[in-house]
This record gives sequence, C-alpha cells and structure tokens, in this order.
Amino acid sequence: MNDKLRIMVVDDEAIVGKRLKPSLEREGYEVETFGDGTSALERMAQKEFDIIVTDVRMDDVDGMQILEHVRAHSPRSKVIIITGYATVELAREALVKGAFDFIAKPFKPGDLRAIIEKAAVELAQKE
Amino acid sequence: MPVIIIAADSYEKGREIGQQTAEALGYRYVDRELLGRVSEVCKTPEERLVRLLEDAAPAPLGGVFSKRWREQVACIQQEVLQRLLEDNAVCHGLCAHLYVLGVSHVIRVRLISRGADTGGQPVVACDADVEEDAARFQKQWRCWSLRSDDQEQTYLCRYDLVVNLDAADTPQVVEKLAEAAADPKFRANTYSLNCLRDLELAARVRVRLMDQFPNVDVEANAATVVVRAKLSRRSRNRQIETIKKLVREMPGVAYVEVHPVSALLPKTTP
Repeated sequence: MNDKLRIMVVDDEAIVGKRLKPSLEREGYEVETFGDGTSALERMAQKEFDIIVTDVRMDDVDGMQILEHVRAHSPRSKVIIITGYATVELAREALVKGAFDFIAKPFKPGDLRAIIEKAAVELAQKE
Repeated sequence: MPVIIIAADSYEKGREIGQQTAEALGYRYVDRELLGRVSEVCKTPEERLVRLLEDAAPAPLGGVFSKRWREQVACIQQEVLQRLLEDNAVCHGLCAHLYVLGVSHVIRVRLISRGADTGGQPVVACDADVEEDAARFQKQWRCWSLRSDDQEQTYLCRYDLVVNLDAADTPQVVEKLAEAAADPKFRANTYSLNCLRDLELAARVRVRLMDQFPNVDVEANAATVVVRAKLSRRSRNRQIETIKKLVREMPGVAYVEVHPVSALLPKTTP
C-alpha cells in the first residue's frame, strides 16, 4: 500500500469532481470521484478511503447517509460535507453525525485543500 | 470551540454566570468592558452606551430611530463581532443575541427568571416560558437588526438553550452551559466561521458608511458586500460611486454591489 492519502469525492454535479480531482492530485493525494451515492458506497466496500468529501443533496443516497455509513464502517475516515444548501440546522446535524467539517458551496479549491490538510494532520496524529 | 452568548434579565446575574462559565471552560469573557473602545469610536459617553444596552428596545420617534442611535448600535455590533471572531468566548451584556445570528457554533442562551418559587421544575425552561419570552425578543430584534426585511423572524425567536433561574443555582447553570459547549453540534466549522466573518464584515461596512449613509442595509458573503441604500434621485450615481469607493478600500472586501431602494426604514411595528 502506498502512503498517499486516499480521497473520495462524491457529488452529482460533475463539475465539482472534475475541478477538485486535478487540484487535489497536484497536492499528492490519490483521488477518486463519483457522481452518485450508490456507486460511492459500492466502491467503499472494496477500498478504504482516508477522507470522503461528499455533497448532501443527491438523488439516491444522500451525503448524510454516506456520512452515517462511513462512521459505522470506517470510523477512522474523515468526512467533509459540502453543500449549496447550507443552514445552521444542517451544519449541526452533520457535526452530530460525526462530520469532520462542513463547508458551503461555492468554495475555492484552496478552501477545501486547507480542510483536507487539517484532516490529514489529524489522521497522522492518530496513527 | 463554540461561542456562548448569554441574554439575561439581570445584568449582575448574567455576568456572574458568564464569568464562571468562561472560567470553567477556559474561555475568554466578553462583556461591557469593551464599551470603552466603542465610546472612542462613536464619540459617545460610556454611560450612554450602557443605557442603550439596558433599554434594548427603545420607542422610536415617529417610527424611526435616530441616526445617532443607529450609529451607536452599529459601533457596538462591530466591536463585539470583532471580539467573537476568535472562538472560545462567553459573551454577555452586549445584546449579541440580537445580531449574532445564523452561526452554528454560537450557542444562544437565555436566562429567565419569573421570581416565583418553582422548586422541582427542570433547569431547562418549558415551552410556555419560551413562548412568552419570544414576543420580547421580536421587539428587541426589530431594533437591533439594522435591517429592513423581516424574513428570519420566526426562526430568530428561538434560543439554543433557555434556562430557568428559578429552578437552578449558579453552579447548576454553569454545569449546563459547559455541557452544551461540549456538544459536537456547536463545534466551529468552516461554514460557521465564514458566517461569523460575514457578519463582522457587514458590521464594519455599516460603521464605515454610517456617517454619510445612515440608512443602509448591508450584507456580506465571503468577500462580496451588498449595500442597499436610500439615495436621492438627483445624485444617485455619484452616491453609488462614493459607497463603492468607501467599501472597496476596506480590508476583506473584493466586490461591492450597491442597490438603490425607494424606502428603507427600520422595523418598528410587528
């Protein structure tokens, strides 16, 4: 296993994954993107990811379900919630369910990179 | 780490609980000491600012609050929001519960006391008490929002925690607040920190414009500032340019939009 941090990006807006993937890969991360929650969960059954970046509102499986799944099956992984429908209630719900961070769209790739760096530091400290 | 904002009927009681909570959690305590600085900025005696805070919902003259009153309120808001940008704080006595809104890591606490013997009642107040208090909150919020739209009112009458002081002593209340501060739902996150930064930026812009444009609505989102202002028809373009110039020069501002509006009165009637 290589020591690159494995990141999963789940968003039904293809442009989000398309933009984030090269930006994060340039930082040395291994990135896989998914356009729906179901295929993301299927991939998670095959491979463990260190960080999962997920949108909330998606048709089949939403971001909160992904968060719950990760917490139940891969407690070590960090989940970062991104959403265009940010509210106080939603942010609080995500944190209670164990999200590492919550960020409203639109954001700059640099904003997310900073959060991922924080998550990476925390992951490294725990190991 | 969260910010705890305390609203209490008795200043002394709120201060006692606020200080002890800050001490128990290792947080900073933000109270009326900062009025000295506000007094310098808005050139108003400190005692006058204290009176303004004591009477959070003054009766407006002819439905309009004076320019001076709005200026003082704007200065207080700016100073408080600047202090709260660093989290881990307990804030009391500055009406912050009326303008630090929509920030998920801010715990808004109301301490109520009816002065009755209610032995055996729960520390967290019942819905009836909260409802009774909501009307008062609405009235105060109308004065302090410095905004002309009423969109958020229904949501705004809710606190995160309403504590019944008739049923709890200070150590019990402090314990309750410390418990709330440990709740993960109040943890600071990127979204909530950005919301607080937006409020602080809007407050700074309001103070910057207050002298020349006392009746403005200001909103900030990231580094974009939207100003709605009542402008005279004859010099509208010149005034828009003046506002843009003043705001653009401010730190943290990347883009300014100015929307002239025909009427912009503070909310004074329910």
